[in-house]
Amino acid sequence: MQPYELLEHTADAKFRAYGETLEEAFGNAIVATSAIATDPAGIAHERSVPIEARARDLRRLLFEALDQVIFLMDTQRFLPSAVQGLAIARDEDGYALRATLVGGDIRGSGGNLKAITYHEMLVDRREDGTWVLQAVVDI
Amino acid sequence: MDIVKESEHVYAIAPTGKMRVPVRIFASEELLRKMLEDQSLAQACNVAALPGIVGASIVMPDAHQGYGMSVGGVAAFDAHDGIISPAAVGYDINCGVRLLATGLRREDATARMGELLAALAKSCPVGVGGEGIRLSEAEFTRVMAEGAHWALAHGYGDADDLARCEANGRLPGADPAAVPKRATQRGRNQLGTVGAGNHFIELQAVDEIYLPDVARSFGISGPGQLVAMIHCGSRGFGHQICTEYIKRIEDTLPEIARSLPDRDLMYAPIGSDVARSYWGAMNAAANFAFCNRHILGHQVRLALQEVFGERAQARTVYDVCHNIAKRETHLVGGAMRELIVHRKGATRALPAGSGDVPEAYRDVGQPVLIPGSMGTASYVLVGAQGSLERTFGSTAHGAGRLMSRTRAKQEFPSADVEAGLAARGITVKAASRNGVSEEAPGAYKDVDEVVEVSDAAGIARKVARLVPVGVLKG
Repeated sequence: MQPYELLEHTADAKFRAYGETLEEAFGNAIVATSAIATDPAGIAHERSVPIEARARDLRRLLFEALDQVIFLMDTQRFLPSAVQGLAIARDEDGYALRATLVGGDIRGSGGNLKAITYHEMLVDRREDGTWVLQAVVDI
Repeated sequence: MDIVKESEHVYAIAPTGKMRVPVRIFASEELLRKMLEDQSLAQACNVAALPGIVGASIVMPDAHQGYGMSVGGVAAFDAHDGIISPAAVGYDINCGVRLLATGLRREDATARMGELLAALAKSCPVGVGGEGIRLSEAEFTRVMAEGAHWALAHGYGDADDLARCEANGRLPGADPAAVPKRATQRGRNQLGTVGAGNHFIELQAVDEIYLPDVARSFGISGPGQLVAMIHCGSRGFGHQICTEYIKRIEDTLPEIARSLPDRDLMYAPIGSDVARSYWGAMNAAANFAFCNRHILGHQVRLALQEVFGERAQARTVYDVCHNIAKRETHLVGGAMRELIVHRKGATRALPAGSGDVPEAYRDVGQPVLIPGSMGTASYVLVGAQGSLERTFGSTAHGAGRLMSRTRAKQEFPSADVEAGLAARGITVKAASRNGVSEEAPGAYKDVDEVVEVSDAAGIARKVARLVPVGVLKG
């Protein structure tokens, strides 16, 4: 299974991320967001940044997680190229995500992302039990 | 979707289902055909179903699919019973355009282009890494409240710049207390930067004049004159305000989020606390953007003077916002009504005599600035009476994307794009090679046609056509 693919979108950038589990798909969605900004192969593994997100439903959880990635790009010039220990716990209030983003500083250009949107967002479990996530990033 | 031609360049979709008003489209047959290739019109129908919408959900000739609402749209809501929607303003709050008219000629610039672009790049940070002015939190709060007036008080530009700016560079209603902390964290070091994407600083030459008297009032003398255009907005500050308020509205009013066909179109009833807070934060972002373009205008002037001395002049023609919601009074069905007019990828276009037009232009009408895409023409228009009658005083805002960035990167290698531009006498200095491909002229709709439709439909009149000479972009 390929981790993610970048898709056509007139004004912005869209991706679809896949995973055997929900956690794997979320991790791939985070790396796909980086890949919109720059080629993730060019990002050094220099430091790690922990993130946490809470949400009542899974689409909002994806929105929150990717918003944090964009926030880190703009405030710390940090881009993740890998995700470690991503865990999603379910409780009566919804979902809680924890993960460690591994990556490095943006070099040269790149990191050109404005915001995550709900537009065409998908968090779907397919018949074979695997997950597909889709989102459009405003760039 | 049943589209009926109402008159030349005007089409309508009658209300069906949950739509409360019709959709009205300003387009040529060709531009309409392009709109049908994406979700623009379906999004306009969704907007037509929002509570308190007045008149019509309006689609501009440059419309393309956006998030929630298409980019290139106008939606007015009753100021008492209506709603406000962050998605109907856009993520880049007060993205806009400033134009400066210089005392120079095209040949002056082309003869010293390398030196000129280097001076511009030094004084105007572009791209994502472009470092802005570092401000304390207290000082940043003043920028939110005072807009371009803060810049003037700190030695940037002059009073004439403020007088020739929409809302004089400061919108009332900004409430720094309503600005989420994360937005401040993103924006605090970004003042005085252009950013990336389709934002740019461009040196242009006047190519053709359509209304000589109006052009002269705007400080545009004739073909060959050098002008400078700045296209940018509120940077990460505005983007994060939009993001945070989409979340806050969803948390505060979950039943509204659930009722929507598109969750991005989240809105808040105008009297609600969260609507009041968004209003305060949106105006703070708008003021940041006015301040940003004012500072960049000053920096462009300095760069031109560094190369050419005092004869550069560089006087502000005008500054417009094209992503904003404003409280305005319009004549609707024979009565004056207070409205919240959302312009997302649309420009206010007031005719002569309107009170909100700066005194210097009151007899001719408000200048409208339409930026082209990289390498294509840009335009100066003037507001026309038809805009007050048909579009709540609005017209188009630019070329509008036609092709995804992914496809543009495949189809237009940056070297080819630059060679093509160079052959036409246009030099590009870009922070990123991908940026050049993504913004290639072929990835956009034809700006000439967008402007023709605006002119023919009577929602603005063509004043001057500008062509690029040197481009500085992210």
